[in-house]
Amino acid sequence: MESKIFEFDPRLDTGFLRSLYEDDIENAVMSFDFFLNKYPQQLKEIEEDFIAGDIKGFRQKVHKVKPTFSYVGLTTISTKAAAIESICDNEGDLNKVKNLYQEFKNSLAEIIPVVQHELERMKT
Amino acid sequence: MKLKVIIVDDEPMARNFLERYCEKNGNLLVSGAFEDGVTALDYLQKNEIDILFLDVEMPNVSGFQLLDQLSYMPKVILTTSKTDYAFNAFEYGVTDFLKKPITFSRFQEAITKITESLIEKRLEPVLKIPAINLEEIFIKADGKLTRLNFQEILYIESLGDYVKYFTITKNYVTLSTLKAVEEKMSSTNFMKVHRSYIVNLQKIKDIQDNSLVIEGKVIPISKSFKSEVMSRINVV
Repeated sequence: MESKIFEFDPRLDTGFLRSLYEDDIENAVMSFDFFLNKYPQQLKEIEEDFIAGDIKGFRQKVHKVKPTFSYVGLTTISTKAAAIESICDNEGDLNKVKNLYQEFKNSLAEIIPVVQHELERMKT
Repeated sequence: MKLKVIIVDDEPMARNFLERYCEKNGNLLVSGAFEDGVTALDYLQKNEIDILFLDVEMPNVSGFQLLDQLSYMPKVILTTSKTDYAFNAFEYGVTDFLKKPITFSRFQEAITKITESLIEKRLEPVLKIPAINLEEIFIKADGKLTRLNFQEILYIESLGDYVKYFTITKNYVTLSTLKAVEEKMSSTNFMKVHRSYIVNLQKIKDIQDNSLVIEGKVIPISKSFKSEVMSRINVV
């Protein structure tokens, strides 16, 4: 694939994406693709742990998925995930993360179409 | 010759990025990428490497638990998305601490740090002053400057903003840091063996596991310094 400077959608963290991929669009395509394929299952598992009240599993999975959002320019979602992780560590109570977790899911659902669209644009 | 690297991270995207960065760097050879600490540890017990990229939070064996079990210490770069581990990283004497996701420029900085320290290490035998005790320092203690011959000093302990010099006859507390002392005494028989101790290698009585004894005092040896201690004493 030919290397070129790609202008990402400003709703993503374009500065971070530029510093991460520089002109390596091939890597960006791979990462966006990977993320979009994997995140639904990861979120499903997080949700299962939340419903089951398994704070350890929930926190561990949130920790694992946290940096992957940044790979696709969703640094604000990574920050929300970090806040959830921190509350789990400090409060040890899933009820304390309920609102933030919902906010995290809503924000993610809202921005995912942008990530999908950016992947399509990069591929063309 | 390329530096041998392994990557240990349970997150595939992180592994992919590090592999690409190693390839882009040109001087690094990725000899393995592992998603868990157990498999990595097995590999490390059979193969010697130069650089270990290591995630902290992984299932079964954490990055720090893996370091605890290593029989030798490669250069370690911790990769994590949680900065809370910085203090532990310092305790383990890791070379660098990278927050994920890692950019190529930050990756390069860490590699430069390692290559510089490896070059320094290769030059060390040439630069090192022969192990003779003709040197001395003046330390400011009890309101005066006191001359201490290096041969008198048993070990030096960090007390935060102060350091304490232990000799057979007397101990001296002076306003300084262990780092400053280390710099002054780097070309001598003194060596930092732990974040809180510099010891006179000639005064060591016993070494057992991860500690040494000088005049009855048991001093811990950090894992990261153990191999250097062993290489600087004459073991028959």
